[in-house]
Amino acid sequence: MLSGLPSRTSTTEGTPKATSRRRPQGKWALLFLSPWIVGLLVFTAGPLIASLYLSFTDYDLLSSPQWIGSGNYTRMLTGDPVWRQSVVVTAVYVAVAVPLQLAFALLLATVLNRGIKGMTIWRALYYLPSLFGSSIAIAILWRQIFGAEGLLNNVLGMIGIESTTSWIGDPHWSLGTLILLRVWEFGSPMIIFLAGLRQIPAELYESASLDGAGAVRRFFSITLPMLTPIVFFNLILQVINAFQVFGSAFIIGGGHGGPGNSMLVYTLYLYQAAFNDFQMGYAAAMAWFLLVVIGAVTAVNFWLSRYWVHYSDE
Amino acid sequence: MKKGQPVHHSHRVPSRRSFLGMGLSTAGAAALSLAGCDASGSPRSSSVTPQGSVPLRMSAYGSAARQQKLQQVFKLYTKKNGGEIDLELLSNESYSQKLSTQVAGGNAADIQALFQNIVAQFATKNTLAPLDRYAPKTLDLSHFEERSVSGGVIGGERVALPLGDNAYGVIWDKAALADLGMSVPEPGHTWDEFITFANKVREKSGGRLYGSIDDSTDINGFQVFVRQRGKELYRNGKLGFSRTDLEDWYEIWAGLRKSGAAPPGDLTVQTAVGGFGNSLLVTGKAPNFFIYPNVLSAFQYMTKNQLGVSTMPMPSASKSGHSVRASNWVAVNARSSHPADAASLIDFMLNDEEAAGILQAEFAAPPNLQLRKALDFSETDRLFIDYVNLVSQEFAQPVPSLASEFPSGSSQVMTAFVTIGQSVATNYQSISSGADSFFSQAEGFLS
Repeated sequence: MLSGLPSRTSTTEGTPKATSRRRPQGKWALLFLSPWIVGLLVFTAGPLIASLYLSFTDYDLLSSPQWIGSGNYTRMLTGDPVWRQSVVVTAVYVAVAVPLQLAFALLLATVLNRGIKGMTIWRALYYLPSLFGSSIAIAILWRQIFGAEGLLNNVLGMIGIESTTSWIGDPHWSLGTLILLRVWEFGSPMIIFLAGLRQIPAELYESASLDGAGAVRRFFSITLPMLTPIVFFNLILQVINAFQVFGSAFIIGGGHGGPGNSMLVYTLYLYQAAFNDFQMGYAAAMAWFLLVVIGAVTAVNFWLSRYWVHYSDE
Repeated sequence: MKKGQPVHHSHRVPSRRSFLGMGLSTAGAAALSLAGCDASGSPRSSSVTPQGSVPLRMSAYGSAARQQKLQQVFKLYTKKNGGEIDLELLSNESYSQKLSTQVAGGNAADIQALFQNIVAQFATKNTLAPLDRYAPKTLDLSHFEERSVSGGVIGGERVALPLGDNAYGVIWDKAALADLGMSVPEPGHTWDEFITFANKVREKSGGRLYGSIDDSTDINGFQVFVRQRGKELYRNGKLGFSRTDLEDWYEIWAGLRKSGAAPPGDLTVQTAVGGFGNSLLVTGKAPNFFIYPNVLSAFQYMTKNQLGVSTMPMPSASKSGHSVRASNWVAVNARSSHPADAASLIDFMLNDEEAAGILQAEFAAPPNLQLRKALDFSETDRLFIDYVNLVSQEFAQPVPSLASEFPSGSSQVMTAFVTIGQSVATNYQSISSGADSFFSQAEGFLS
């Protein structure tokens, strides 16, 4: 590098002023960008490549990685019933939780879009769960609510239904409590829906009303079609988020997948493989598989969007 | 990588810059390969006599009470020997993850407390320093029973020492039983007696108390159960018991659940999380807890009721399934700069009367038998020590080595034992389908 420097200066000497001014600017830009570039290379790209490499090795942290080719991937796809279980649990979780969460967020956004008194306060209140939702404290609270002597059973008792079921302890229900926790974190899609609702021209509703369309008809014929780009955006984001659920499952399941692995979401199994069993190579392979799946699901979502997302400028 | 194989840098051109780069890459290589490369053979300081006045670090797991006791011991040690000792104490759950990461990064503590299930794993990766070179001058093992220290010899090298002898057992709520006019089951009681006893507790308390917790998801309890049948959890790295053994175990607890003597599965699942404070014993809903009872005083701290200890139910005293061995171990980092000083501190913890007096039964019964006899224990710890002595004299059977007891994959098997046991306990799976799941999962993990 250093040896190349003199010759470069000698060529710049002869060039017109304009270009010679641009070059130092480029250098300055690089200088100011360098913290991010270095950060990207060292903290993102580096580990990414390392993990791709490790996914083809047998690595237990204590001794050096041994190259085993596609062994981890073969084992994952053909020889690990627990991995398959974690895929099923995660698929159910994503497929049920995301639509429910979005429906709930849209419903609340529609309600909050009307002129109610103290609207901003209501919006802030409904947004709160999203701020807390992924926290450890809430997952612990969730354990209390759905425990054998928890809030839910108390409320059920008040309305005459005696229940001593521990909803988190019973594998028939435990995944349901996880899904409910995800639905409860409806705040950020709700805020985005609210912004989208504001964009819909009021005259569309006015003319629809003049034509005699009721509230339900207006919702399905105007609101929903006009909102599809926003629904699509929320869908993409929430699906990606839901695939990566970890904290709530870790806490509510007690550090493992719970009874019958009913709450063994993918990242939890990945974590177990990596940090309980020190199978870093296997865990890295699982992580890459997840990345590919999320990428594929997102691609399919984009492809499907042609059929149901309407952009107003089309 | 084979032992002693050097890290290659020969292709590098030695210049100022590549020297810097070499430093960096060595750090990286160390992170990836330190354990395989030459870690066992040559600690940086070859001296076998402690230098004194050196900084040492110890990492351990456990409660705040344990931290206080250890710090008191360290204070005592530094007063006599100078130097400085740092203690890193973590929760039980996150300890081995942190420690492995530190070992991989080359900055693990000089002295490491190790729970029994990871000793062999670390030893076979050569991350622990051989200790015999410090005996007998720095490390005095003359008052230890051979049976209690032999577990720390792995692959022909002594790499770990017992922090305290332990024996599995059952903690009972003496006071709650006394209220019902009953007393703690005698050590050596049979399974039939245990089942009758549990049902009687349920009956006499008018349903207020369960007769026993449901121990079906506890692999340590199950280990005692298969040893009663002359088997082991693992043999040669494979499962050492049969489907029938597991089904019989599940049947015992299913029977107790059915009669109401044991709690329903969902309650068992729920109370498995949240520490001892969440256990049915502490919350006063069941009179017992199956565990290594060196935590007796931790339990006693949480309840006003007087507690006691007894054995697991067993077919007969000669088939008790019980044994005496440390569950907590201590070792010296193979890469420690001051291994002799580290060994000297371990010697102090185990053999100094004052130090042992501070530690009491924190890590279980002091392995130095002379001190164990001489020490003045608190009332609760006395109960525990008496229990270990009793098991040692009347029930103890020989145990396999740590390496064969915790083969690679065993921690996943342990997790599977919990989740499948919970699945059977909550009737999510039948006993036979649970046994099917367990065998297919476990065989996968152990292969």
